[in-house]
Amino acid sequence: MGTFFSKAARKVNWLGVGVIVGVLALWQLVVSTRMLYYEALPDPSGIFSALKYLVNSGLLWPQLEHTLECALKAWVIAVAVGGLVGLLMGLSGTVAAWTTATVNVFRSLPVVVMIPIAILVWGPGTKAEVLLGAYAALWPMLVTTAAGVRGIPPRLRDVSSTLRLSRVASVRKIVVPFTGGAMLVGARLALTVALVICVVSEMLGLQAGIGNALVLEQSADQPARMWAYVLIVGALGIALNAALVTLVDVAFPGVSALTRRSVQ
Amino acid sequence: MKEGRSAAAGALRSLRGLVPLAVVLLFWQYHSRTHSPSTPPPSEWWTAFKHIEGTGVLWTGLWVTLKLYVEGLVAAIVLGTALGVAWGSSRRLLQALSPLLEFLRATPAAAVVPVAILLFHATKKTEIGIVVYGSIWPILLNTAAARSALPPLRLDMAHSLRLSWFSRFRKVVLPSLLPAIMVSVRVAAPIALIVTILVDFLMATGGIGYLLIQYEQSFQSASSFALLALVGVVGILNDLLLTRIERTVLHRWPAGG
Repeated sequence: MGTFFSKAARKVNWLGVGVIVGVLALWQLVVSTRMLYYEALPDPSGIFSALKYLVNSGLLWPQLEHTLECALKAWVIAVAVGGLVGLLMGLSGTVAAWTTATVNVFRSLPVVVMIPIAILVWGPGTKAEVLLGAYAALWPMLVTTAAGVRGIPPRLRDVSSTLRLSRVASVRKIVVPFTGGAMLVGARLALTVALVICVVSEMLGLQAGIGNALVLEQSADQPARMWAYVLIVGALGIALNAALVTLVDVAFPGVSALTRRSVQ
Repeated sequence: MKEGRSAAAGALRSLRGLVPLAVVLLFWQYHSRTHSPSTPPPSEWWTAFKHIEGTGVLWTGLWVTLKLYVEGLVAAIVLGTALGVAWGSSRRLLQALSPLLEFLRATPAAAVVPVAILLFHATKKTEIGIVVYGSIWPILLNTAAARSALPPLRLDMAHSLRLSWFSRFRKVVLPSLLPAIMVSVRVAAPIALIVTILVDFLMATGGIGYLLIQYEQSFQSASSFALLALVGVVGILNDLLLTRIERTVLHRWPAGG
């Protein structure tokens, strides 16, 4: 554990951290000396105390829980459906030929226009939010998976026919392990997209979650709390992504090593 | 001649892929009640579309949205390229700024909209600024990465030819970076379109997104679906246009050339 931390410390980009601290200090200075004055611009310490207030008063937790729950549900649906359809589209030329154009039509439709439509159809509730997040996150998962399957080298296909693997066995033993890296990339993209779309749909009319809280603080003229929520959204995206990468690292060390190799 | 025919046959064959969409729409048409409050059949979308067109807000709304989209995207390309070149020219600078920019990038443009409205008020400049904020990251990061990977030999050559700063940028740096910039524009453009519609939603711009929210909130579902279909068509055309531009640019300035 000790070596882990010292390794991590060596990997930290101290210069970059210094720049962030410097920017915050400058911001604090400029606002508190009124060199720069906007009604709605709190200084970092104001945002920090708003953040502390949100945490201590318990205002934050129900909102955070709602957003997280919706985003994760949406993500699970997207990964399952997108992974499956992506595998089918990658494996079978017939499936790809009969679906690709439809997939492209839906993909080029800007996702946010679906938000008012979903609220209209399912009403402003959790169901609309989860389905919206899942819909948006589906496409990156589907497309990267299909591309991953198509990228399997022909020699590996030959191996599977030489070994006389059945269709199921060849998918299980060759296709899925080889496509794992691409699926992981797709799943990471999907997670970011699901979170953003859930937050945006909360901003646009669903009565719960961090996005809703953010808009409410805007209309209640509480800029410091609003900034705090913006920070929370940003941090949440980074934290979820890091959690997913760590989880995959622990659960499937082979896959993540493969991804790292293909990235470098 | 033969080539033309096979291209047409190819296009026809790729239309097979639209069959699932057509099946869904047909099923919808024949299995949903007429005047359904939430899911009106596609034929009613068309009637609603004609009606909106009659009121005269449709094309002005589309114009407002497309104008904001193009202005924002162009500003993001210009700014992203300029800042990316500056940022990528020094390894130190890259290292110093990357954590800050990574964090900013992780903050979704949507969450920034209320902040921007409170800070700068709902003006035209704020609208463009938000679209730029949402779509600049891929361009900035890709340009910086390409700039830092630029072979020093090319810069040395420009130096020995005593090119001025401007002609060095125009004749050496920019052509070398163009493939990377083009790829990043391909990523940034759909984001810019999404953020533009979001700005329509959250600030009363009068654009297509604004109209859509108006119809949604007054439960005019057929009109909402009509606008959804219109935005879909715009999205597809945008995609085709970008593919065409990308192909032209990469043909003229190939990667690694």
